Amino acid sequence: MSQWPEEWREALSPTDAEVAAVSRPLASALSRDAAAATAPTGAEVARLVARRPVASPAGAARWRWAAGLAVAVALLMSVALWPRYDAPSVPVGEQVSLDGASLGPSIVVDGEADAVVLAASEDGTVVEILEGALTFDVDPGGRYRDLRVRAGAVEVQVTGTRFTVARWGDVAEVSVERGSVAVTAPGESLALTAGQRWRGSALIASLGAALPPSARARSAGEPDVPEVSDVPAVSAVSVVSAVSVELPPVAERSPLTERPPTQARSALDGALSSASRPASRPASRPASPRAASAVEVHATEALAEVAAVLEPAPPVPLTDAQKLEAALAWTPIQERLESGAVEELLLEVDAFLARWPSSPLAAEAGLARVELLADGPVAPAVEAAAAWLSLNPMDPRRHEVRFLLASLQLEGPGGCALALSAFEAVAGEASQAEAALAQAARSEAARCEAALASEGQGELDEEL
Amino acid sequence: MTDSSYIEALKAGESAAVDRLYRENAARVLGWVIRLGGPRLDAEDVAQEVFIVALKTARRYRGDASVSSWLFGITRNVVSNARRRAALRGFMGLPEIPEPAAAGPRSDEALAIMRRRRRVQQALESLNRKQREVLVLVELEGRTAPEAAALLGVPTGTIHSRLHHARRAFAALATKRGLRAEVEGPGGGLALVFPLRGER
Repeated sequence: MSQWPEEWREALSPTDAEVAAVSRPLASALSRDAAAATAPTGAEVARLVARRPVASPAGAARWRWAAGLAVAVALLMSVALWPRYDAPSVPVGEQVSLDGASLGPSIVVDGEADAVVLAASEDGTVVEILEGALTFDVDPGGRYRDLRVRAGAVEVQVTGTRFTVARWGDVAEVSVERGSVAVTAPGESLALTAGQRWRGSALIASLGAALPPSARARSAGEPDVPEVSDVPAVSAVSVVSAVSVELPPVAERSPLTERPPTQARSALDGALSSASRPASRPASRPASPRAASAVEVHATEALAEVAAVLEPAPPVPLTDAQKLEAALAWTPIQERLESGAVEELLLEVDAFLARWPSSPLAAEAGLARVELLADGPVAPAVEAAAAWLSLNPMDPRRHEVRFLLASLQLEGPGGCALALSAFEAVAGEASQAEAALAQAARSEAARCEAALASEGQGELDEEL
Repeated sequence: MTDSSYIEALKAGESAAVDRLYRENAARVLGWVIRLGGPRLDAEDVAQEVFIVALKTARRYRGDASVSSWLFGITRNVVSNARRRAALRGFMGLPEIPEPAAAGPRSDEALAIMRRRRRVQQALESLNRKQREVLVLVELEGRTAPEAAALLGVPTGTIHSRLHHARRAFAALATKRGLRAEVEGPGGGLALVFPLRGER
């Protein structure tokens, strides 16, 4: 590498004059005019100063960072500590014996009962009590605490409390120890608070709809019978509603281990026992043992006595969609009325009436029920016809039903003494379109008059 | 308020320090933005952005350089980003940034000032960034080469070199655009007789 001679370096170095010339600011129009032209005006500077922030963005930024960090930590903590829903140990949709079970993180069940857990998820828990008493302890602030407990027609809605729901046959009882619950029963709904107890009828027809088919079969203990036959005695639903009994506040847990003798219960038990007497009237159409049993359950006396004790449920107006659903439910039943098995049809009609008591088709279903019962013992059919007439006093078919009622009475213990007035009424009130019916009624009335006259002459002869 | 306490107050975001920062540097920063940013930027908005960035990053300011130098460094970065955004807007065919609405009605004098500013800005646009910075600091703001070197963080000799080339380039452009350029002095320094004076 060659060395630069010193004299070369000196020759190439700028002179002081050159450096001064380069370093000297231009004392020219450029530096003056260009600087002036690009200098900000006073107004521009004033506007810029006026835009200064009131608070330091640095401080605000620090606060934002701190707030964001706090929110992030809170979110992470909530995610980490969020209670997971643990699936219950009991199977869903099957009849089980709930004893000390845990339904989710916030619901503890105690007691002994045959029940079906219809649903158990983050969306809520639904338990149907078939028989027995269960005490539910629901954490008021817990997660997944939405709970509904059904006991037949009675439904208890709760979000956080301790309460007991019991069902013994067709009687349900709800007792609240802490918090409050909403009880819904046919014809009424009420709220119970701590220390209050409610008791009422659990008769429903909706059990069949509430339970899955497998559960229905298991719960009834008859896996081989058709589903509809598993529906318990539902014929009384049309006239039986829940009754609420306000009891004094209970200091301790309600003793629900014994069947409570209520007024309704006593009336129903007595009526059902009297209704189980053998029928004296031979059936015009041979009825199977199951049909006879079903007809006996629908005994006239039971309906009359229970109806006398219990208030009827107020009709609930149906929406158009519900009316359509009722029509769709009634159509297959109607199509089989002439050919189906009596006992199955009777159960289906009863289930329909229980499900759609205020449907426009209820009158037709009730009439079908009367006609089905007419093939069995007299008493239930008579009572059903009387009940139908009381419910549908202005129905166009009232004369037809009244004629049927009179015909049934004619075959009963009262005979013509009871039937005569009914025949005469039909003969007198039937419209011109019902001329044949009126003629038949007149004929039956005349026959009754003759029979009564003959009986009277016979009795007179005996006395003489 | 001493300089150290002023810096500390500025780092703490105290409003008095913020006011002082604006009052003492608003004209300077705005001038830098006007001269370095070119005609396509809204100078007031960009200057405000400079102050916002300065206040956000104040806690990182160590105080070993003057506030003016610190602000100039921020201005260079903010203006560079703003010029890039403006170029992108022009490339994509988006409309130019309008004049600030706060300017209000303008007098003939104000319009003349704006017109002259535009012409100088367009002339400065012909230079590259390094030459423009040196020319602005030395020729328009009257700083010495060592002062410009301190602001730009380069050796003084580099300032001399850039200034020499900036003058040459600016003289060539001025000639091309009809501006008179004269060689002044024995050292060969360029002097541009700015025709704007004759337009008044």
